[in-house]
Amino acid sequence: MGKVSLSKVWKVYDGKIVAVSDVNLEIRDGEFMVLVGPSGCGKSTTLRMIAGLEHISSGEIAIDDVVVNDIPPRNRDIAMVFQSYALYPHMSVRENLSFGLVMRKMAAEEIGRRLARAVDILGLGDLLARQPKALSGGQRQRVAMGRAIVRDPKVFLFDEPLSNLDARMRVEMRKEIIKLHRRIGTTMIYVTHDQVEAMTLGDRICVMESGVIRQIGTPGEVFDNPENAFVAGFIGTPPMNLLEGGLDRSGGGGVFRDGDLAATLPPAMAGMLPPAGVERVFLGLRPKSFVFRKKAPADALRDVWTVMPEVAEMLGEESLVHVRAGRRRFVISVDPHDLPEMDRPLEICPLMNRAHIFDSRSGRNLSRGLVLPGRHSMRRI
Amino acid sequence: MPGGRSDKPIPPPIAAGGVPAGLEWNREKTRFRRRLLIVHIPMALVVVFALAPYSWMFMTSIVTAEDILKLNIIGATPTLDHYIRLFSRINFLSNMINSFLVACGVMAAGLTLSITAAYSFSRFRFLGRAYLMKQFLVVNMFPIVLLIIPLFIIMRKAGLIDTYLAVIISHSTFAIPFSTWMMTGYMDAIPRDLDEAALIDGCSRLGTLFRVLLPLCMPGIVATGIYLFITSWNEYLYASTLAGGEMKTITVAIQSLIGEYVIEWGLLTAGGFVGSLPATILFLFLQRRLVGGLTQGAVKG
Ligand SMILES: Nc1ncnc2c1ncn2[C@@H]1O[C@H](COP(=O)(O)OP(=O)(O)OP(=O)(O)O)[C@@H](O)[C@H]1O
Ligand SMILES: [Mg+2]
Repeated sequence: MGKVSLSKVWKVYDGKIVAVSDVNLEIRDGEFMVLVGPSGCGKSTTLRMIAGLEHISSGEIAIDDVVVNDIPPRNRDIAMVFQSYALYPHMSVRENLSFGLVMRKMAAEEIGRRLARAVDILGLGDLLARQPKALSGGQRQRVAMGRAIVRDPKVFLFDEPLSNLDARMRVEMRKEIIKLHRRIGTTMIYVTHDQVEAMTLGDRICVMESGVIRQIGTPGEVFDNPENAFVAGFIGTPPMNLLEGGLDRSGGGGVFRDGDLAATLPPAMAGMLPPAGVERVFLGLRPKSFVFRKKAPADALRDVWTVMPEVAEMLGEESLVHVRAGRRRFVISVDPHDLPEMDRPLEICPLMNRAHIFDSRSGRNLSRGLVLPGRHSMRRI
Repeated sequence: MPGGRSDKPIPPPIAAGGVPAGLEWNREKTRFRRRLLIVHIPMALVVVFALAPYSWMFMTSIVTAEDILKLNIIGATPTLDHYIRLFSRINFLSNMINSFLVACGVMAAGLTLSITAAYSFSRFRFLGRAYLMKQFLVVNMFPIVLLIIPLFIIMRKAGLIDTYLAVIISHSTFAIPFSTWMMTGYMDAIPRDLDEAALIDGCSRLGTLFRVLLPLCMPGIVATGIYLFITSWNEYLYASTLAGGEMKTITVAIQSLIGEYVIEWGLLTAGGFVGSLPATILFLFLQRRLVGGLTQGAVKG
């Protein structure tokens, strides 16, 4: 078992810096939960409170329904993988792996058995006699994971374990971690600032911003139904375009207006908006939610935007084109074989079925949960 | 068509650096000259400056008293007279043992206190931490003479005059603050992640100190230990005030060779030479660890 629950958890440093405020989070047994957010949002602090390395200012953290606020890290039955790996430099790989078991006075043959299993899972065979300084970054990373695996803990904690690896190695280790989780099925809590990592690894992800949880959900939910403008602007490569403008409710429907740009909300979306009180909004459109006018389906031709393509980024499968419309700049994704000419006016149509409307004051997604044809782009296979 | 390339000129042989061989040798020579000027000669001067008084002392200690007075030191016949007298007449061996015991005591007390203090300074953020650290540095700026009178009074009240304990405590008062600074520096160089990993792996706070921190700051501990030992070994003022009677340390014993009317130069220099031996030998043996310790922060990787 390895259920972790945080209720009303706060962390205040030095009586004034609020690093984590009122976090409520239930992590189920066996779940892979990713905490993600920009630098300084308090994800490491949250993880370190779960580990017991940081005092909890207020609130409760429970592991398997036992409140652990006052239990020292060594008695919480958790294991942690650090960004710096934190291998003991004065011990061989074998000693590093067995240190936690020796500290717990485990019998020698049991230690041997667990070491053998971890070595088998991670392919550490010929490294056991080496010192950490004689290992490459990827190998150190493996040893650090091995040190956690041999412990056979209730919960694994990872704090940005891949950010010191090069891009290729990172993809490689990401796969290994997914496989590891499948194989041992232990609860894992994983901190990263990289939303791609979060999307690929997490059963559920928890998006944080300045100490506050902005959304908890599966990668699909977070991508397709962001609860607020922050999540929309954080998740996705590149993230959702957020255009600020007014909401014109005359005539019963809803039209987004910003200067020359107008976008007609589908009736179902307009129907979800509160009858009054929302004047300024963000219109959220992912780069893939635009089509060239010449290829637009009939219902999208209602709104035609003339934009100026400025820069194109070739990504292989798609090209990202940075465009300007008046004083607004945003990104659209196009087929690389159909690249528009730069600095020549281009007519595009927003696919409004896929749009999101956020209240500009609270950032809340007013069109959340709306189901329309073609709206949900992300599916888990 | 093997003859196809024969019309091209054959390039001249190239040395490893991509420069024709003769040129390379010339460059090597100028490089050596420059190094001689900016490294070797200044180094030699520094060494001569440091070693000259020491060798002069040694040479003085192995010539007869008459030769010393005539300043006939370079050419005189060597003799071990002074050394024999040093150990037979004035019981220098027991002075050395006194010094050794005191220095070991200071080293033990100093390491215990400075390691534990450095651990808290390095790992905990407590009220007054910065202030205390600053005070530890400021203490070094007071002339130690200031403390002698109060220390003497305290020691007499405690009945400790002329005991090892008195000298050990007094030496500790000024050696520990600096050694705490030293140890704090070494511990700061060890990442906190390691403590935290150990805490999670099953260590208590004290366990992390013994199992992770101490093994990793061994070079620092050796350096600090040597500092404590040598500081105590060379100290004169406290040793003479608090234990100038029965249990003289070597510095006090050597000083007592300077009489009111005569100075026994031969004995004095022989004592000085013998007295400086332990520190020298200690340095020679631990040199590599010590240098490792002093540069640890720079080359950690
Ligand atoms: N020991 C500390 N004392 C004071 N403030 C701290 C301390 N540790 C963290 N903070 C502050 O708490 C906030 C959250 O820090 P935290 O390390 O949890 O961020 P993070 O989300 O892990 O960011 P990163 O991605 O950069 O690691 C930051 O504003 C940080 O400055
Ligand atoms: Mg962090």
